[in-house]
This record gives sequence, C-alpha cells and structure tokens, in this order.
Amino acid sequence: MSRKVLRRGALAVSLASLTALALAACGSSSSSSGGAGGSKTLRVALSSLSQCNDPQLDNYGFGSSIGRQIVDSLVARDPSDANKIDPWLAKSWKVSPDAKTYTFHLRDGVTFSNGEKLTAQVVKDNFVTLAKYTEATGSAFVQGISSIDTPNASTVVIKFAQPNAPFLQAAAQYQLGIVAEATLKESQDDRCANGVIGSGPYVTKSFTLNKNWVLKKRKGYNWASTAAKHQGEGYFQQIDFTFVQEASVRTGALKSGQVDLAPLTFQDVEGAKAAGLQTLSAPNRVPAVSLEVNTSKGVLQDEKVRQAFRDAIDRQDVVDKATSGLAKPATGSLTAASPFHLDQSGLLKYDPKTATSLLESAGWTQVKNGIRYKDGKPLKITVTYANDPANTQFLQVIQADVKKVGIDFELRALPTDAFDKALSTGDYEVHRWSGALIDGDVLRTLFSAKTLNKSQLPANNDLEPLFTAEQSTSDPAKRTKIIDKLQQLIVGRGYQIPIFDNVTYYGAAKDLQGVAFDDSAILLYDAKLG
Amino acid sequence: MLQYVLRRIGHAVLVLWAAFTATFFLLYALPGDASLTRAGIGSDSSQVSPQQLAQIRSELGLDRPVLVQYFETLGNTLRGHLGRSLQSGTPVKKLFAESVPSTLELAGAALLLAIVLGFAWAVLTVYVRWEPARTALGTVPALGVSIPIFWTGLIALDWLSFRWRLFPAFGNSGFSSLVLPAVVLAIPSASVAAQLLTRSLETTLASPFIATVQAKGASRLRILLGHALRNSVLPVLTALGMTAGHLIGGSVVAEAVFTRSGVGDITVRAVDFQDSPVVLFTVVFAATVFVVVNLIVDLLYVVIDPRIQLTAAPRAGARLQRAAA
Repeated sequence: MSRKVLRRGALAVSLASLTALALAACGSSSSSSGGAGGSKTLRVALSSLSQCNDPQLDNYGFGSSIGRQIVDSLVARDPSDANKIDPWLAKSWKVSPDAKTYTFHLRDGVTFSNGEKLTAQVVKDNFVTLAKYTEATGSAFVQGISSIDTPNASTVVIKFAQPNAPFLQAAAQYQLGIVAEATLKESQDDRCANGVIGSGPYVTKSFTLNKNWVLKKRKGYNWASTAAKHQGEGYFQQIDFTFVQEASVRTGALKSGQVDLAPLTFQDVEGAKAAGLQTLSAPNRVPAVSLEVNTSKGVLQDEKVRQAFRDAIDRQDVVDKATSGLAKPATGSLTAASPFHLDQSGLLKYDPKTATSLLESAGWTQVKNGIRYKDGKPLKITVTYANDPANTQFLQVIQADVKKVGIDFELRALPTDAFDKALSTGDYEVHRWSGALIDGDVLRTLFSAKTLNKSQLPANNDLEPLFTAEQSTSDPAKRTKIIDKLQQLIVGRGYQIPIFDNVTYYGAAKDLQGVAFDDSAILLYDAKLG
Repeated sequence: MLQYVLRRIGHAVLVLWAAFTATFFLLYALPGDASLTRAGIGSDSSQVSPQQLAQIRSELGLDRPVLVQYFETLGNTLRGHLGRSLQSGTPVKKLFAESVPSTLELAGAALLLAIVLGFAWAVLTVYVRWEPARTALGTVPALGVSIPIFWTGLIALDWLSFRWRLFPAFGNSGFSSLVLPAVVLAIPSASVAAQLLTRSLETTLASPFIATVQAKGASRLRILLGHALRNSVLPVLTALGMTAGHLIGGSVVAEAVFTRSGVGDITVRAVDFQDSPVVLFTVVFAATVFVVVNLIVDLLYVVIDPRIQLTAAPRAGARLQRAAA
C-alpha cells in the first residue's frame, strides 16, 4: 500500500464523518417538527420493561400499561368509585348468595381483533388455561374453579369449590382480560414473546422487545365499559410506547416535548409542574407500602418489640423526606383509597414514648452507644429489600427515626434475584412490600400460612378461620366486618407495619386529557390531545 | 500465513469455550435462579407461593444435576440450538438477530470516530509548536479517559437533546439517534488512541531517519504524515484491538443512558433476571467480537509493516518486538 493511498483513505474517512454529522443535524430538525403537532399519535415513555407481553401472564407491569389497552375484561371498576362494578364484556351478571356461583351474560357483537367472536366458550377457555399456568399473576384469581358451564353462546356459569367473594373485583383486573382463542392455542412462551390478541380499543401494530411498542386504533370498537367517558373507537390513530429506564431522561423527554406522557419520580414532580406540564396522580388502592414482619426469628418474635418498632416510626417524616411530601402517611393496613380501608391512624401515630416503655418492659433496658441491649445482645432489626433508590430513601429515614428509641435498623439491599430467593426461603426479618389486589382478600394472599405467609405464621394460627370466613361471605357488610377485624389483628400485632400510601405520578403534556387510572393500570381509551 | 491463521482460529475456539464454561458455572453459583423471577416473586404483584416454585424449576429443568445441564446446554449451543429466553420466552436467536445489528452499528460508529478523533488530535498535538498549547492539547485525552461515559452521556442529553433539541433522547431510529451515543462512547477510546499515538509520534520523530528526511528538505507536515505516522501506528493498532472489547462493554452503559436496544441492553436485563441462555450467548458474542477484532489487528501488522513475519513461531514475540521498537 502506498503512502498516497493511506492518506487519501484518511481524508475520505474524515470527509465521511463530517458529512454524517451534517446529515444528522438535518435529520434531527425534521424529526422534532414531525413530533410536535401529532395529535393523532400519543407518545408514552414507560419506566419498567416488559418481561412477558401477556397481561394474564406478566408479573412486571406490561399488563397495567400496554396490555390494558389491548384486552377488555368481563366487568370494569368505576375509576371514581372502586366499589362500583360496571358492565364491560358482560352486560349483566349474578352472584349466588354463597359466593360460589358467578353467572355472566355476555354482550353481543363483540369480536377480537383477528375477527373471532367473543363467546362463552372463549371465556371458559381463558380461565381454564390460566388456571394451569400457576406462576402467572392472573392465575391466583381462577384457582379453585370446580366447573365452568356454557348453557348458551352468551352465558358463562363459573362455579367455585369454595366461596370466592373477591372474584367479581378480580374479573375487572387486567390479569383477567379476555384473549382470543388463537392466543390460547399458543404455548406460554409464545404468548409471552409474541403478545396477545384481545378485543380492546387498541391493537398491537408492531413491537421490538423492550424497546418500543406501537398500538393502533381498533376500527369498529364499540363495546367500551359504561365506566368510560365515551363510547366507540379510541381517539388516537396510534399510541407509541417507549421504554426509558433512566428517570432523568424520561423527565427531560417530557419537558422537551419528545413524549406526551411518562411516569415521574417524586423528586421530578415539582420540576415538571414548573416546566408547565400536567402532573397526574394515581393513588394506589392496594396495601400500603409496608414492612412485613417475620415473626419466626430474631428479636421480632416478641410482639412488644414489633409494636415498639411500629410506634417508633414517624410516618410524616418519612413521606416528607423520601417522597417530597407527595405520598400520604399510612393510616391502615390497606391504603386510604382502598374500598376496604379501615382507619387505624391511632395505631400508626408516631409515639416514641410508648415505644420506649414497650421496649423497657420487654427487657431491653441497657443502652450502649444509643443502642439497646438485652443479655448482651443488641436490639437489631434487618430489613431486606430489592435494591432501588426509592426504597433505600424511605428506609434510611426509618433508620434515623427508630435509632432515637435505641433500635439498630440495618438495611440489606439485594439485587432482584437474591431478593426473590430471600423471600421464597423466609430469609428476612422484615421486608418491604406493597401489593397488587384491590380487594381485601389481598390480606389472605399475603398473610395466610397457606399462601405467601409473609409473617411466617404457624399453620394453625388464629387468623386462618377469619381468612376462610372472608372468602366465603358474599354479603358485603358482613365481609367488610371480617376484613376490618383482620386488619386490626395484622397491624395490632405488628405482622404488617404500614408506612405510607403510595401514589404514582405521571407527567403529561399540557393538552393531554382523559387519562384515567384503575389502581396501577393506566387507561388510555378516553385519552386525547388538544 | 495460513498455518498462523489456523492456529489463531484454534485459539479463538478455546477462548470461546472457556468463556462459555466460566459463565455457565458462575451463573450456577449465583444465589437464586430464573424460576424466581419467572414467577415474579420479588414483584409486588406476585401471588405465587414458595411451594409452586419447585414445579416451575422442574419445568425449566433447573432441578437436574449441574453437569447434565452443562453438557446439554453446550451440546445444544454447538448444534445452533440457543434456546429461549427464560423470562420472555423469545427465542435467543431472534433476540440477537434484532439487537446485534444495532450494537455493531453503535460500536462500529464509535470505533470509526475514535480513530478519526484520536489520530487527528495526536497529529495536532505533535504539530503545534507553541509549548502552552501543546501541553493543553496533551492534557485533554487524559480527561477523556477518566470521565465515565454515563456522565458525558447525561450531560450531552441535557444540552443537545433536552435544551437545544438537536438530537432525540432515546431510540434507535435513524442516524440522528446514533450520533450522541456514538460520540459519547468514542471519547474514551479516542483519548487512549490520542495518548498512545502522541507518545509514539514523539519517539519516532526523535529517531535518526527523521533527521535524514529533514535534511532532504521535507516540510514539517510532510514529515509527520508521510514518514512518522506510519512508523508510529502499530502500538495504537494494538490498543484499538483492545478497544473493541471496551466498546462492546461501553455499549452496555451507552445503550442504557440513551435507551437504545442492543446487546448491552439485553445483557443488563438478562443478568438481572438470571436468564442464563441469554447471558451465555451475550458472553460468547462479546468474546467472539474480541477474538475476531484482535485477529484482524494482528493480520494488519503485516500490511502496515512488511518486515513483520507472522509465520515466525514465537508469534507474540515478533509482535512485541515491533511494538516496543
């Protein structure tokens, strides 16, 4: 190779890169002008990545964001009143007094986006298939079904072996969104990988795993729930979801008009308001963000220590410092927005004096370097949690609070997989948890020795009869009483130490209207720009 | 020459096997496994009881002896059956067919930029005569090496995307979305190249043959570009071979900051979820890139310096001798 050739090559390379930069500058100006006035397309940035693209099977947030727009459920919860259940794919229903039999009458003329008709058989096949996939989120709702009958094409009769009062609420969840027969025929892996066919107002147009997801309007959609603000087709031609993990990038993209809707961290809410964006908030109706206590090991076996720990936490301080004052201090086991909320603010007020006397009466009397000791052992409680800055922030505030009464609160942040492992083996003293089900039955899921057993209670504990009663009572007033009792016991004995009622914030473009929330699920059917 | 290439390919296969095996057993030694994340145990919405986990583990074949799993996985990989992602169920082949081009595009653009910027900077540094400017120019690469790319990435986003709106903040669509990540990713590699080439050029310019060229009346620029550069380029080439590995590694960060899909992005998620089929393949992919680039670099030596003989038995010796000269 001659010298000349080498030099010419270098020149060509530098010219090429200069041209490239110039082209890039042109390209970007055209793309920003293209995005500005596009009211036909909604651009959403999401924080969590989808792991499985099926709202029935996913455990990590696909269902609550994208999946919810693709599938319809049998019934819908009214966004303004979670106790009110509205018709959706079912135009009417009947629940037997023993809460064992549910009869749904399906709406006529509903089709899936592949042209299949919604029939009683499809609904039956959905629930039967889901019950088999036990690790799926939605599966827990359809366990214990003894039979499903389809007396005619538009009637489904679901019978449970045991009374199952929470099922109507569950039927409104996206996890029980109905998918087409074509999807049910696919394997679990294929459903996760390829997404599902639903009857919802938007249909998958294209997607790249964990990069973006594009939905287009379902032409002829005409079966919205009566809980929605309008009927007929969705307002957007297209909805573009992009996964943006970095919170600062999401907020920057919102402020610079590159997206119309994105979740915000608490720290970014003020900045978003200052930049003239709307901030939308969705109070979570699930259990409060809490510390779940393992009663089978360490110092927390003693109920007095658990109660002292509960009383030593200044919840107002926690929300002020860790959530910029945006979340609310917990006033009960279930959040104030939950239809089953019981006000337990008396039990959850900051009371270091009572905490101190409880600890002293439990024998933690020696104090060395600000930490209490009993028989030479320090009063140390370790919290296990998934490593996430938001978790660390509020736990650090608690650490400082409880130090004042002599409790050494140690933070054990684990990567996701190690945290999973710790939970499944009971390797924790307390751990951070929230929940997913709006119905009061979530307490049974979390605390019964037969299910997740968060407090590691013995199999014959005295809560079990109440859990059974709660599940088998369909009379709302009686059932509420049982759930109230459960909440009193769970918080009173310090099995669950509620900290704050979480709230999810979204930043939205000035002219975006009609976005609604159903607990964590985001509803875009009524949404429009301008 | 042919014998040399064949031997290098043999080495490459060994390296790939070692990378595969080490990764497999490291994954196995980690606490937890894919069954936990598949069941979503750590997520708030999970309702799976620990008892159901055993069933999932056996469905995934995770309850079998580790050696059985190892040889089966190795055998499948050799036959081209890469399996499916344990988390999303997507075939690993499809996952990579979608992501490899994007990462190669990013790393390739960054490598090109690194070469152009690094060479231009080094030549400029050596060419400038005014001492303060020369010192200043010489310091910048040190800065470029030491600043982490997530920081430069976020700063670049803040100014060039959020404030001035010149480039999109995320995505892989089109050339404009490639500019920021490629520039940010190129900075450390360009700095290394600039540092090495500056030093090497200075050494070459002090050698006797330069005096001869000067005596013949060649201009400064001609001496620099025509005579010194080619004689100084070998150590930089070696460094650029190593850089290929850093670029693949750096793409993990760049893809996270700029929300690009690609191998780096997939790796992060796969590691987080102990998605072993995917992790195994990313490691093998990165090792392949590294091995191939270094092979190309070694072959380029012959092209640039005809005095080097690759057939010489102590291969590394010949290479080291030239590099040190």
